[in-house]
Amino acid sequence: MQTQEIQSLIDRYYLGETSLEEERQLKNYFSGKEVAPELSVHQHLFSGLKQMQQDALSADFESRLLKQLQEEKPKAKVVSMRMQFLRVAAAVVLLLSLWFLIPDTQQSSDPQAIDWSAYEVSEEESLEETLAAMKILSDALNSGKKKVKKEINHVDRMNDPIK
Amino acid sequence: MQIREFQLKILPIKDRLFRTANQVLRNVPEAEDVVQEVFIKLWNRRESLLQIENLEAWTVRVTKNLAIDKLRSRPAPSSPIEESWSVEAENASPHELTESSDTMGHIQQIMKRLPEKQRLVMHLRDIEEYTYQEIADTLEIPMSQVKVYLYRARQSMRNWIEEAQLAHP
Repeated sequence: MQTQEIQSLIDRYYLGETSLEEERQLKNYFSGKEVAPELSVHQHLFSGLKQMQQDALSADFESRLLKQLQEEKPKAKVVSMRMQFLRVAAAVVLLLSLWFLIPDTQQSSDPQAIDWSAYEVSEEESLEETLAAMKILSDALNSGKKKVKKEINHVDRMNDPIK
Repeated sequence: MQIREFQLKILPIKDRLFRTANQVLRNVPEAEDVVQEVFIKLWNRRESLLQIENLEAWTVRVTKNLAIDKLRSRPAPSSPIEESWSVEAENASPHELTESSDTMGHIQQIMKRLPEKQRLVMHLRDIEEYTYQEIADTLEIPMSQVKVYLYRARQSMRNWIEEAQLAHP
């Protein structure tokens, strides 16, 4: 190809007016040995671009990946199970909250009909009742926490080979 | 989709994904990690993969986004992402740019000075040989914008290359 033709292609390239085919011609020309001296300033660019096209992953990447994919378990199910558990835990906390709130609601609905003397208790009894209720709540929360921790460890273990 | 089909239909774009990730990260092990992560994501949704319209463009886009996420997660200076990408090249003198150890490294060094979108458009056009429409689909930008980014990228490249040449003929 004539030097003038190449110069014209170069000018059009920088203006973004060349086709893919013309751009290939430029890369091939500048990757060859017979580059006109007056055009050599552009040689780094076009031969560099051509070299970058050859850039590739390491040779054993595919085999390593395939081995990993065959061992891979679907992540979606793991996430789904965890979400399921969190939903159940949330429901338990909600029910416990309601359990504490409902007596108050009933009392406030018809205060006249309640014989308050039947509910009178000593300070010690109140303290015991409160502690017992808090223990139930604490046990439930601790149980949920252990299960969540177990699930998170499980997910982390599954993620280990990816790192 | 079975592993064999995945290998035949999806894996052939692996080097393209690697180059795209490496264009963003400039770090081969990290770029490999990104490609691996992309393929694991693809494998985990293998049953619906073939329903994705223009799967290659979608995959290159996912790769680019993951690479940018990885770049942002680096314990880097608090400067904006584009600045942090270009620090090395910005600080290089024309002499250093001219004297890079190899031609490819020399051009990579100069390309690093381009803003992110210009660099990605130039990468997809000049290295991956995408059409303008394919670039627009991949980066989800209008085709007219693709042409503007490419024009600006190439003009900048020309200026920097000629400056380097003038400084060290």
